[in-house]
Amino acid sequence: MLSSLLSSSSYCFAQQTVDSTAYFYNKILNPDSADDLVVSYVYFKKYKEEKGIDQDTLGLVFTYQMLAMAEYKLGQIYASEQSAIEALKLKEIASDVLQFPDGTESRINNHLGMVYRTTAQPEKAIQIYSKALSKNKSLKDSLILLNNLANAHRDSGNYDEAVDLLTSVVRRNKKLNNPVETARALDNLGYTQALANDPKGLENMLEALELRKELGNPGQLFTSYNHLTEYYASIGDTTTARMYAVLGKNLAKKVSTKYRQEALESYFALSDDPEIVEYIRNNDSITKASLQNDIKFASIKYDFSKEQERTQVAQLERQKESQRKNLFKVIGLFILLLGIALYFVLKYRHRKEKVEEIYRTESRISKKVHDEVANDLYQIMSKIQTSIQSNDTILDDLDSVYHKTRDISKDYGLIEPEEEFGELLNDLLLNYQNDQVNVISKNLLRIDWNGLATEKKIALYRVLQELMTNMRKHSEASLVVVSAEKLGSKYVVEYTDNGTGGPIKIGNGLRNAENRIHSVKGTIIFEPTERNGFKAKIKL
Amino acid sequence: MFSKVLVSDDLDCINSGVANTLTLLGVNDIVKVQYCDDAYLKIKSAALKEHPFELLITDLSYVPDHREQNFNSGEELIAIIKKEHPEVKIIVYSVEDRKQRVANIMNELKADAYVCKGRNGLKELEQAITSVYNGQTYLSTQLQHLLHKSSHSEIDDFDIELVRLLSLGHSQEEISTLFKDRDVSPSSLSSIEKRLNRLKIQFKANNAIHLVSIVKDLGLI
Repeated sequence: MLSSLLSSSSYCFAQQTVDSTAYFYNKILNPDSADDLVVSYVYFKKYKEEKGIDQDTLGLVFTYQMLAMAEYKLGQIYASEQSAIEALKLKEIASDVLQFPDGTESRINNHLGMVYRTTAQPEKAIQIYSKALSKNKSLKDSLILLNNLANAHRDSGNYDEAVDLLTSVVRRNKKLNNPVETARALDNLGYTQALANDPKGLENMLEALELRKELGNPGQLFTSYNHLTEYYASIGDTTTARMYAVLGKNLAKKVSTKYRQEALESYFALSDDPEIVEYIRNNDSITKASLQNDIKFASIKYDFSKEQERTQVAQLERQKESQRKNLFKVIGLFILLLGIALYFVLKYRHRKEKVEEIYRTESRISKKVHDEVANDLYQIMSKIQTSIQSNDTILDDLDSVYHKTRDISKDYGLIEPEEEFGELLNDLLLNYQNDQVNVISKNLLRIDWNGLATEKKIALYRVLQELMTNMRKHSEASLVVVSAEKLGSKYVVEYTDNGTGGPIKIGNGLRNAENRIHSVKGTIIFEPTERNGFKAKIKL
Repeated sequence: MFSKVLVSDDLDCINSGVANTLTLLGVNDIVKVQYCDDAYLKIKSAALKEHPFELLITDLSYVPDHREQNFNSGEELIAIIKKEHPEVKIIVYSVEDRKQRVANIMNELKADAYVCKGRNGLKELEQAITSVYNGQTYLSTQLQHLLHKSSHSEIDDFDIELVRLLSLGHSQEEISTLFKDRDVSPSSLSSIEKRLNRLKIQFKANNAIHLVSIVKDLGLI
């Protein structure tokens, strides 16, 4: 068992480490003094920390087992329970991945059962043993577990169950030809039967004694003597009891001080001197009370440390939570700031665009005034200076200038597209109607224009104006058709002329038209028609 | 002829020109103002003195200046005068020639005449004054032209369908039958003929074949 444990748990350790581990392992199993236990305990505690860092689960489980054992022997029953449970937990988690030495779980459960028996919780012990039995596969281990289960039943006063179990254990051990375990089971069976006032008890205990005498293991032989002493003392046969007590006492000298103490206690309990008997009884009750106190204290201490641990965990959790909250706050603030910055950047850009647009418009008007009005006026002025003209000629010239200014004013003047937008568009188109050009509108007056936003109406109006002006200036068209259609929530307006549009050259005017439509998120497509005409499709 | 006339225009030289025309027409009592508010007050006070104005000649657009005004445009002035003193005739004399604004003034505000400033502005104003004096309304010739044209320029899906059917080789009779079958109105042969004639004029086509060719070239069918 030792070699398998060591080989599986310490494969990565230096030879020296393996040696000391083996040394302390033996010290825990067979301690010469409490000091041995303490030193070994400290060794394994350190060893555990190293294992924890290494994430070596096999080694960790082994170390917890060792700690549990040392703690038990040092009287730290609760700590021992906890170590054993920890070992079980780790084993459970890792058992899918790792190959644990055979019987690891049985051993841990056995230890836990022992802990519960010591702390007078036979029900828990029964539960643990039953669970371990259901998982165990080895027959040999099962028999040991069954033996312990029976003892737990005996502790809880359920003698019948214990007797039944032990009977079957004895029978099966005999079949396996395992005299050591047969003797143990037989002794336990006899002791239990004796407690249940079954005459067969003595018979079985004596049989076990004979077997053990043959085997010659002093520790086990001592147990038999002890049980017999108790039995005879209980039926009042002090002489026989004392005989066995002496036998046990003599044997115990060879085994260990712990056994010797036990033997002496049994011996003195049979004494004739009432004071000695009272001393023993008194000592017993003191020891019991002391153990009880220890257990109680350990339990409180353990609960307290557990509570502390929980508080720490909760505190840590809270800290993490607040850290997370802070992180979110920082992120949120960052996004907010980014949003604000973006808002201002966009606003600035928008304003810049607006200013640029205004500037472009102003320079366009200025250019127009210069080209169309100022030039004409200058011509009129020079005409008046150079020759004598009739009033009518001058008046005609002035009238043409006047009309040009009117046109400029119209091009950039206020339009009110709120009502009867179709009518407004129609008026616009009619302004371009003359002897050369026929302007035809299709469905302009029939469509409900209320679904079109004001800025889109204005854009459409201006673009059509631009197209019409373009037409009059350059195209020599004789026919213009402007048709409107409403498709769902979209408006499609198509301009077509039969002029000499030729290959499309997007000049300033058309570029303006494009910009206007794009600025209200519409589309405009220019294309030549089959016969050199020009076509524009506006979608808003 | 009118005996007492109020002329309101923010440009004094125009006021003078108008006053000149009125004098030539034999009007003696001419009052000139440059603000709508003044015009309103003059008309009010004249009515109170029981010597009311018979005619108001007003501009539409008044350039805002340091004086704060209750009435900022000719439309507002016309509306209040027509409401409070319906007996005063009103002639609008303005550069504004957009159809909608003109139609609004004539039809909604019920002005009596509308004259466009221009080459023949004063001559037309003369005619307008005479017409209004005789109880008629008057519109500048260019406006008449404008208002008149609109009804002829609009086509619709019916027209396009008509040309489409022609392009497919149907005769007018067949189209009439087809429309009747489809419950399309109008479907009588004569109305189809009328429509086609109108389309020929609109599209400047010499005959039906020419019309189809033009409409097709424009991509309408």
